Amino acid sequence: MTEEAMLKGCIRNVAAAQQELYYTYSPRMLSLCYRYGKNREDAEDMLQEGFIKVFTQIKQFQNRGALEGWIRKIIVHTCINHLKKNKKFNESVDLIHASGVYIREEAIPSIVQAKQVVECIRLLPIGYRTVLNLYAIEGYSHREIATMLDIEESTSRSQYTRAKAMLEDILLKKNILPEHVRNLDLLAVNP
Amino acid sequence: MERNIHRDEFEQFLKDKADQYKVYPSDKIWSNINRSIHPRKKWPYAALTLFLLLGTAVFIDYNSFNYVVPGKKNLLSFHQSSKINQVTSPAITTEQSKDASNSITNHYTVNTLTSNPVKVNTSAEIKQAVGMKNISVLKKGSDITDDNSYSSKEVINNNPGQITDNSGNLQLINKSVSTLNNSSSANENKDEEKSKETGNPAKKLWGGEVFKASKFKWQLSFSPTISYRRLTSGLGQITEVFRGFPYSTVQAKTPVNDLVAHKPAIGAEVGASLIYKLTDNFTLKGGLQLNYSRYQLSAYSTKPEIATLALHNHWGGTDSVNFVSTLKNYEGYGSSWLNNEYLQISMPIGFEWSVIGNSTLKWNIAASAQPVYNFASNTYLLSTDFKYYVQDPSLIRKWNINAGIETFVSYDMGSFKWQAGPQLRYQLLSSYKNTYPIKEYMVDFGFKIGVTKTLR
Repeated sequence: MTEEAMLKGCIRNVAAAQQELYYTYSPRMLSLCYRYGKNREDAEDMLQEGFIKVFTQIKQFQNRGALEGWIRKIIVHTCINHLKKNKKFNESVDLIHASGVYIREEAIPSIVQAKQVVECIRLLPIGYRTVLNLYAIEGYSHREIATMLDIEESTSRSQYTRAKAMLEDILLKKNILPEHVRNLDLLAVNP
Repeated sequence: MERNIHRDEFEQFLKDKADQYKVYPSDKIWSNINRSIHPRKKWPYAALTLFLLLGTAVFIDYNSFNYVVPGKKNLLSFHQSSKINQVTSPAITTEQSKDASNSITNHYTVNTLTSNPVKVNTSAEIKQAVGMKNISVLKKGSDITDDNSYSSKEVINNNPGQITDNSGNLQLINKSVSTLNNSSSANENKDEEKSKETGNPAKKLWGGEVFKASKFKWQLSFSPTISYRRLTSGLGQITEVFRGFPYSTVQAKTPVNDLVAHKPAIGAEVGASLIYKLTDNFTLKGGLQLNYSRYQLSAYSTKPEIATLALHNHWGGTDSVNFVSTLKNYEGYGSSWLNNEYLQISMPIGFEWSVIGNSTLKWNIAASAQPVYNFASNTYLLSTDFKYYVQDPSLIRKWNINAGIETFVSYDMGSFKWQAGPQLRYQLLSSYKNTYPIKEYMVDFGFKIGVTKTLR
């Protein structure tokens, strides 16, 4: 089924088209939720909630961009709302406490590099992780992040800087960071 | 956004890796989403329930109130009203000589039990309504009233002044009414005495009719159930080759029940039975029953791996069969609850014994043996090393036998009897064939609701 046919089917509330769309995008979206969530169950709850929104709001998709980008945006907002609702974000956003985080080395399974990187991101405190996900991976600006998370723009910047430093430290320890990124990055972040 | 080249590379690295990583959700997520965006319509179920309740009410109403036996009783439904017609005959006979010129009233109204007046406009209709014998007398006498409306036995009994003849002689009519009331009551008492003398289980229904109950009854029952299973292992006979890490060190001592995560789930049974009454307190029962049993087990998604089932062969040795499984028992990417389901038809044969109670309310116990044919199932089997779940319908036993016990309270409403109470059904043979070393015994707890109707 082409994306256009899938989209038309979803707009007409056809279950087969909705299922096709779900199976096409759910693995990437669950990976996204997994980076924000506390655990897999948490991520699956976010995914479920997000896809229900996707299907109920799909008539609002104006074909102005990629369908995946639109779905991704809904899922990201769902994740943020989920974190806010469960107060996970606010509880962990304290920079002072977050700086002393203990990194469990045994928690990183040595499977494939992509999974290692994601697992390393998940080791960050949830406040750091959220800002890093939104800025580095989703491409939101600090102003947008500040609006989304109800924090100051400067807070978003400082959290990102610390999150990035912490993540690089973890990746270096795990020997995951590629050579070309590692050298330049060390100069930029740890002068 | 201010990003220098170094940071961009780091961020691009993170983004690439994050996009490469895919996590596959469990099937239940789609089920939940689908259920949420396509909710089941509830009105068909509500309509069906309403229809069944209405049907039952109408059926009970029809069978309880409309006992009309042509030639034995008149159309009026309850015994007091029958006296009205019996009254007319002698009253008219007495008065016929006084004024033969008057005719029967054009409108003759009698009350039925439902308080809806039946209007009879013609003499033919009166014949149908009252009976030929009375009508013939009416035609001769023909002076019931000079008022064109004549209504209700209550009017006759309580307001005799409305029943008049042309000469206004009320006494004679009223006297006749009371005489016939007495004689009618006396006749009924005689009937009751007669049935007591003969020893027949004659019963007087709401309609006043006396009949002899049949020894046969039929019963319909429904029971929501909760199903569970008990696992035992015959793995002692299976070679160690099939046992693997991590359970190899513990499986010898740990009951197989403790190596899996399973929980009960709701099922149902519906049945119809024929009951034969041996004595007042003891009945035999046989019928057909449809059972839906299920329970849930926890499993984890995994990449495709080989799962081995070790099987007993007919020569006392061991065979094995391999499957590719993506479901693990104890660890994996994400857990979900799988349904193990059985759809069976069974033939319960047993007895019911009324332990205590009176003719209306009784406490009973019952037991049955139920040969079972398992005609559909969706079952996950545990691999011999307890690591994986696989499906192999050929290892599921088709024929089995269940034992059932129940206790219930019954309430007799005449030709209907309602009952409700808990029941237990236990499967006597393993759900799996003997070649599969793990044994599973299903246990179903239910609350049975039944209605029994006496055959006539």
